[in-house]
Amino acid sequence: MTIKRIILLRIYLAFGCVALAALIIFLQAARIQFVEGDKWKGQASNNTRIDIVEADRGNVYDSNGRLMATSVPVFTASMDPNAQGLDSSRFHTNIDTLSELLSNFSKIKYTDQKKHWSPGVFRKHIESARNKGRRFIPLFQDLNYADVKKLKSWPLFSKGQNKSGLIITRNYERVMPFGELMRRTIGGVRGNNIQPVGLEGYFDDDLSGKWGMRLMARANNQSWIPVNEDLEVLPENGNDLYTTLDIEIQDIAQSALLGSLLEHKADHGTAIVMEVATGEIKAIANLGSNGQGQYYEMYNYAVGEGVEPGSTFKLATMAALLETGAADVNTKVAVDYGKHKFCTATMLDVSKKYRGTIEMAEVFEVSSNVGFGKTVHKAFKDKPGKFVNQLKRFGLTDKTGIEIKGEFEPSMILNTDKEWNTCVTLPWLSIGYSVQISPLQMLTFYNAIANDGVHIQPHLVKGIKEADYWIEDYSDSRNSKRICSEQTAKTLQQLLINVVESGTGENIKSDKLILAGKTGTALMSDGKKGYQEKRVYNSSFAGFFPGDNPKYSCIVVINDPDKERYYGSQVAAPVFKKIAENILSSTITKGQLIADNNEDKKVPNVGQGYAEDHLAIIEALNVNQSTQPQMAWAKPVNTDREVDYRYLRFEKNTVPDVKGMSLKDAIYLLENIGLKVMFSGSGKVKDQSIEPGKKIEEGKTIKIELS
Amino acid sequence: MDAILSRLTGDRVIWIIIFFLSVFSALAVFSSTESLAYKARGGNTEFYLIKHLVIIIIGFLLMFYAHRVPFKWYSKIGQVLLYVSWILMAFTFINGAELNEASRWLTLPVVDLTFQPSDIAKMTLIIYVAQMLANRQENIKDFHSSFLPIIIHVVLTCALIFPADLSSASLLFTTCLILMLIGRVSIKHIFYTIFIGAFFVMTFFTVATLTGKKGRIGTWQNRIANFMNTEEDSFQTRQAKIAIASGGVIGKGMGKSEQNNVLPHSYSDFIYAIIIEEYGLVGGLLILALYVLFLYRCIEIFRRCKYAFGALLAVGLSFSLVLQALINMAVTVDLLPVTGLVLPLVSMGGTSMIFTSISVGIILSVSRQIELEQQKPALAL
Repeated sequence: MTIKRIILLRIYLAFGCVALAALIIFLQAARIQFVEGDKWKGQASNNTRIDIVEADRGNVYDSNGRLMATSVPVFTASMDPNAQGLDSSRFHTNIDTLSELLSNFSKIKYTDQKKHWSPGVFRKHIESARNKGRRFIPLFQDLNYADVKKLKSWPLFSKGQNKSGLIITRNYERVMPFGELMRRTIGGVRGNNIQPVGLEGYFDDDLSGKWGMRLMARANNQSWIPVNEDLEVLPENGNDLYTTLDIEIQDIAQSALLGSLLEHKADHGTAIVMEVATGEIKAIANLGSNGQGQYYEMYNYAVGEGVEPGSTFKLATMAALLETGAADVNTKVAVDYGKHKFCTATMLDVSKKYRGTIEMAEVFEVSSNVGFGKTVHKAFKDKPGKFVNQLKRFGLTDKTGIEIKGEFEPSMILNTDKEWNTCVTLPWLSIGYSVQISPLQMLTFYNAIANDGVHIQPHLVKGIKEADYWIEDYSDSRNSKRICSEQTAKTLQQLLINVVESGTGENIKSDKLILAGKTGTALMSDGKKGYQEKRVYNSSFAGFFPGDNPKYSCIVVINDPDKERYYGSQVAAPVFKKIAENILSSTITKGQLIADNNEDKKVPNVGQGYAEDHLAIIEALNVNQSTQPQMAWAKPVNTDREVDYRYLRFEKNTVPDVKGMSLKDAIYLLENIGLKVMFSGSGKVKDQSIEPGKKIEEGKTIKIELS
Repeated sequence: MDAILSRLTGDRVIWIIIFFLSVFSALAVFSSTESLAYKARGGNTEFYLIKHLVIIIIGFLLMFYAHRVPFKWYSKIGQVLLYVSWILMAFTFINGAELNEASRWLTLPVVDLTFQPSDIAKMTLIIYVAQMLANRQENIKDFHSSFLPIIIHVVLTCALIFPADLSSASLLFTTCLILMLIGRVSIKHIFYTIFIGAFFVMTFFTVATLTGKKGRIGTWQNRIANFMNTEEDSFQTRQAKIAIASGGVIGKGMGKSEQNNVLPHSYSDFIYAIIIEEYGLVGGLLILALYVLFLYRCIEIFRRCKYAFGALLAVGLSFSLVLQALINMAVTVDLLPVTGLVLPLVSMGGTSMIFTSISVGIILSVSRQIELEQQKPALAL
């Protein structure tokens, strides 16, 4: 036998072993399937599960950084009377004290006597659960952090979950520190069968963050334990939403609106304030009656409800006449007694006073329907498309694109539609019928006129921040377009000022500032019944202020005021005036107000830094905390008398922002990432020589200046 | 592509086996990364598939170029690289604690693959053992001139790998012993080695246990304890069995695995379980058959190779690969305790894929040489 044959023989022997091993592996796989199959398949679905780990939802802020919506943790306490480390002697030495404490504690939480257990009852309850081998007794719900801390300071519970059986679970509750204010615009996403609404709904993806996941395996019949020590998928905290809203202006708008609603027993109303130059919405109030004389934010009428605007629409008609050159302010029209028949339909003015032949400027001031109807009919009856196209150009047939779901889609009878009848539709369109738009859409047009003819997309959100970094900044990306000449816009501004000076809005003339606007009183069509059965009016006023230098535009719409007074001038215009005057006085005295408030603000400005240090300071000063920092680094946001913690997250390999930190924290952070720190001065970090966000170059020196 | 295909030389059956394994690899990795991909890329599973496909292609290219190199060249470079890897391993072993994590690894740019010196050592040791066996066939039974130099290299290499990767060290040691057995080293000497080796391992574990469960030793004790305790399977093993049982004879179908969500390392250590879950016992059998056929084809290479070094090289590398595959699959079906060894050419994991591809390339280089020499007479005509 040659060497090669001997080797080959050995190889075949080894190969045989390998083949045998392969066969055994196959047989074992088959055995798992056929012999043990049922056992394993039975465990397939019910032996593991994936638990959702909630992420911190982002906050919503107003334009001054005040907190409008935030998530606070709420805790639930329960007890495992058969916890592994809770042995008999520990249980029996502590049960009396524990029952006593539990009973006293529950008094605080449940004033209801039926729910209040005496120490004896608690004791019995816990002992019997322990004897029955139960693993879970619910104790308290809706606890805050202070409550939990107290529970954990008790003799037995201080020993921790394993030795005492105390189980604390955490959930989040959404809180709006300003209550009803803007509730509908801020919106919400939680609850059964509730469509996500408002900004919370629109920006849910950004705010909600990402759920984490944790793989759990069954430990015994009742309990589940995590398979791995760490989460399989870490939750990503939600980002913060910075809105354009201003809580002070919102407060002004809301209380002015509420006053009028109560006075006129109206069904609902809305008031919107927009900043002329930017299109930023500063306030958006929506109040609806609950039928018992109380008003709540129930529906976003400002955005979601479309109605025939009536006379406020005449501004658009006037703009169309001016832009096409079909008429100007001096064009004369005979209104006689305020009555005119267009083919089959008769148009009436509100006032039957004889006016004879007047100029368009006056037609606008006194809001003569006949004057508008006749002028428009005369100018466009042969080319109605020209008029309709002007209105389209003004953006009155488009959605504004506001960041709220369910914006009303404007509808207007067009000259190309079947329902169009030039003889009737055209004059009525000119006075704001045959068209349905939302208050916000109407306001957007008024804002464009106040902005010298430049139309700006209205918006509610400035941007989105992840921790301290802007990840979305919408401020520069707003659509704006010129919709009419500056000349036209200036003329219209003057007409609107005149309305308040000497026209239908004369009753709201202010001695504090020049107001400009247009009244509107529309008879609502009530579905199929048309305009006949029950007369429901929609009173409105839209305009801007100050008239000589437009800063804010504003619209007030009040639906179904009682029948004593229902004209826009009587119901909506006074709200407009109140809003304008109060905004004026608040901007003047703002500095003063803040200085006064500071007196009783006890929250020290602690700056950002190491979270545990903060906690120590804040607790020592006995300041309320709305949340607790759960990360090593925190940035407190003071809100009135509470401290809310924003987590600081630092990007990897980039220089962090240490401004506002104490020297200790700044040095710790910077040296830890490999930078050498040089500092001057004392106090908090005022400036740093390497900008935050720059890539770290190890060993480089960073100079920080303290103040 | 045609240019490459027409230049594929060496055993065609092996090329086809590699192709099938790669297809299985891509499918199974894609399926079993779904949960992993969710973690890191927000559900973008294509990322992992593309990364894996890129590595398969790189592996294929390395295999192609490795097989174009005359295998004699490997005998020269093998020994040098083995010693280089020793130095690197010794260096990292001694300075281990002081060096930072990154420098213990060598990183390949572009594909972002990291590997340790031990990866090179594993391959080069087999090359060098094959070379030594080939050179010493004349007096292979001699203790001093044959057995001693071989066993010293084997023991030293394995000892250097041992602290970081016990499973790999054991597998390499076993493979080398089998190779020595095949290469006609005195059976008596080999048995002595096994006894001494067993003694050292026992001592090591006893000392380690007495000085406390620390680091990887603790992990190993746990794994073995888990395996011995037949009542309580470990979580991974249980989940793997659920996957196997729920697969049935023909499987659930491509991408239908449900256990990939809960089975840890379903894309590497336990990929065989996912394959059975999706492609059934039939798929499982096919994979086993592919490896066995691969080994058989390599034995064919041995049979036809005129050069002792080439023949032993092909057999050594193929045994190493197939043994690892069998151990991985045996772990999955709970015949062996959990080792952490991946399924070569199938599991995700760039390092393993790259080095395995190179080994296959070397085997094919031997096969190519045989073909070239058989063609020579034909050309002469």
